Amino acid sequence: MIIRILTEGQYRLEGEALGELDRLDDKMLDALAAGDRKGYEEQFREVLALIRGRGSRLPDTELVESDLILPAPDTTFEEACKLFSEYPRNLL
Amino acid sequence: MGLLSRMSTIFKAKMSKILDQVENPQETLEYSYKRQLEMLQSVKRNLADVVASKKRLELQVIKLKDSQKKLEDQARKALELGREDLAVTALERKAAIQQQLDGLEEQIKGLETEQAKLAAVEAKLQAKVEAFRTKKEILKAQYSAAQAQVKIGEAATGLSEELADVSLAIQRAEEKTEQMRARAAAIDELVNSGILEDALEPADPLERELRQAGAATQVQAELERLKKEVGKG
Repeated sequence: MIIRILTEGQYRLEGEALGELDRLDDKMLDALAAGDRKGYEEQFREVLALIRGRGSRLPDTELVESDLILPAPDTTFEEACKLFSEYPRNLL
Repeated sequence: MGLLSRMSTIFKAKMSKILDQVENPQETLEYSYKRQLEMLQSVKRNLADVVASKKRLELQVIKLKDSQKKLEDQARKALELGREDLAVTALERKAAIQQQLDGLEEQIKGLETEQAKLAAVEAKLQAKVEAFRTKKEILKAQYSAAQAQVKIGEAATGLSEELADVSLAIQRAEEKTEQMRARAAAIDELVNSGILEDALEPADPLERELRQAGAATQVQAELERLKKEVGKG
């Protein structure tokens, strides 16, 4: 799976790491829905660490469509709420 | 995937809207680069403004120190002439100037902090602009290649992602810089209007009185010192 971290670049993530990413993603969704700022920040940090640590970085010269796009690493809780609330399912 | 797939959906929806409006990505890249250079210039100007404000305050400090020296000389002369009353007045003025000096030094320290922060933003932005310049050329070449091959599929989508990503990175750097500039401008305004100086004056009457008493003790001590110096102590 090709994952882009906005403002950073693309990574290729495969195998077990994807399951783990899915688990972290659910936790992040729960934290955001519950208005849990600390929880969101923690989960988001873990998601980024997982992708950077277990994924392999694609060179900037390789133009591939991403399967998944992550917000910029310095996205705040408020920005995340705003970003995700645009999706047609009530989060706030 | 929950949240992350949402993010991807939103991003892609926005991107396709942007792409519809963009006829020539190469022109967009050049325009974006120009905007970044302008932004960098404006940060540099702002940094220069902060440095100028600091210099103004530093000159003020030099002037006040000169006045202090003059007042001390006057106090010494007054004592030599046996006019202790005049010496006390001169030393009182000197003490008042000292309080102004303390306030100014505090402000200079504040401006130094702002200067350091702005310099950090400038360096960051400079690096980003430099990286963008290189990336811009690569992207332009790739776009031309994709166009030549009439390959609209994956490469074009990847390219548009890159474009959107790069412009987002710059937008974030700009937002952060704007915040910094606003803060620096606010400090400048406070310095110019004298509010910052007022704010340093204690509002509490007790504290004010203690300060005055402190200044009076200082005046007395200096009077004694000068008396000894001129041999009248």
